Amino acid sequence: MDYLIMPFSVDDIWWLETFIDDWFFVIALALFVVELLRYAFKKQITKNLLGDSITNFVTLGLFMLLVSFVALAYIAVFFFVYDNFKLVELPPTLWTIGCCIVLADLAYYWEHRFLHKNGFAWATHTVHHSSPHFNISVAYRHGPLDWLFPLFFYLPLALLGFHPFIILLAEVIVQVYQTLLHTETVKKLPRPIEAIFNTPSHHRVHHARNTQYLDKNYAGIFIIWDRLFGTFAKEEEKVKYGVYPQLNSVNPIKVFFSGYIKLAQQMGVISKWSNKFRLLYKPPIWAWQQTQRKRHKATENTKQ
Amino acid sequence: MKLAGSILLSSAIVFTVWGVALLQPTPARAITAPAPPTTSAQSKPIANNVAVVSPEKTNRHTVKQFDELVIEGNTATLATSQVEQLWRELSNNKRLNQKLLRNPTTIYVYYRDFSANYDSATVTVGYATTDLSHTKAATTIASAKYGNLLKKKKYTPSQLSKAWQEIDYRRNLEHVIEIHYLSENSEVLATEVLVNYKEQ
Ligand SMILES: [Zn+2]
Ligand SMILES: [Zn+2]
Repeated sequence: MDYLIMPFSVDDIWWLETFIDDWFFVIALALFVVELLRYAFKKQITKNLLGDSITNFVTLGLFMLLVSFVALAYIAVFFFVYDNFKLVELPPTLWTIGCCIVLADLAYYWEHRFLHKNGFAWATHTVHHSSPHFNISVAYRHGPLDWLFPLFFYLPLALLGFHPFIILLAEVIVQVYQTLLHTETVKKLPRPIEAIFNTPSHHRVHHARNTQYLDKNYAGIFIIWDRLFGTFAKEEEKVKYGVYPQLNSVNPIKVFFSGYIKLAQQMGVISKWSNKFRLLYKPPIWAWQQTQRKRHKATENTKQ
Repeated sequence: MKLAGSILLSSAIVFTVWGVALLQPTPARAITAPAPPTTSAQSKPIANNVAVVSPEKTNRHTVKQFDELVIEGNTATLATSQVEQLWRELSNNKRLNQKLLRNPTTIYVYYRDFSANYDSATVTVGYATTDLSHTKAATTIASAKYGNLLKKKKYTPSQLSKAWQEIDYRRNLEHVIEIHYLSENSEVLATEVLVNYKEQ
């Protein structure tokens, strides 16, 4: 048990974090090739699938470009809170890292749930959901503000005394685990695993536009959060991927900004200023209802 | 579950997991920097000069030659978390304090013979014998090359304990010397921490 409490240097943790970050991408690319071979074998490769996959990697490129501008500030905020406001100081051990991963995963759950329930946040997260396909490349499909919202949910960990590098490591581990879920290759895993952990099956449900699957399975690593908080749905009916209404575009620029363009359009359609503002914090379903109502009224008027 | 209930349950989970993190038995956490005897002077606010620790910046400690030094004070083999006790014993050590020629300018804390998991060591908290009229049962700190874990500066207790976490515990830790520099009225002005590892 000694290895649990053997302290690391924080430099090692930083190194491990960047190591996982870099090498995991290579592994994911290899897995993507395997997926493509499988689709080829089943004669399911379409022009749209290829275009969509390329778009996914282009959005990743755009996202990384934005991240390169904010990364230092992002880390500095964690250090600022940690150095000035931490309640205790937890040693850099495996034990601490384990606890941090569990808490980071819980933070991920809430951040993800927030992304689905807040109009301004959904406008960036909708990009990830807008693909009609489901493969590893979709995991890399990012929106322009995907880096912003995690900050608020992970920052409390610095307050609790987790070193910023440990938090970043935990964030990366949750992210990497999440990435692996984006595949149709794995059907269902053994029941105990499906009961405790998030799996490709659970995450397919999360990407569905079938009504019974909407706003379900927000989990990162542990599906128990969804089971506990009543947001779990089991994969039964075949999943139809994407968002409603569908985006129907493989233009990377259009895809990358689709959420915010749509938000701006909705704001234009709605006349009352208080309602324009509501679009930013109300759940996306509210925006949809508003524009539907508007459209409904418009057709009523033309009928008369 | 309703949203409010879920948030409440989440908070309970956070505190539980945090509690588990706090309960870990660990050498790094047990080793906390001792509060020097003049704690009242210590509690003065100190400008926070901990900048963002960039990974390139840390752990590149300068090497320093430490010349042989004889100190006398209170020695015990104990958990490093209990070093404060030695500080108390030193300030209550009438016999020793009567031998002081002047207000001491430095207090040394000398750690050696660490246990396998580094949570205990033989520790001496004491004065250089040059500050004493005569010596008995002195401890010699052999001359050696030391890494400068903390440069001579004023630090907060949390900065001091953070320094302990920067020790490379995978190498064979041999000695740690904390040098506390005192003012005329025995307030700690600055601290320096030196560390050396067994040659392999
Ligand atoms: Zn989502
Ligand atoms: Zn996803």
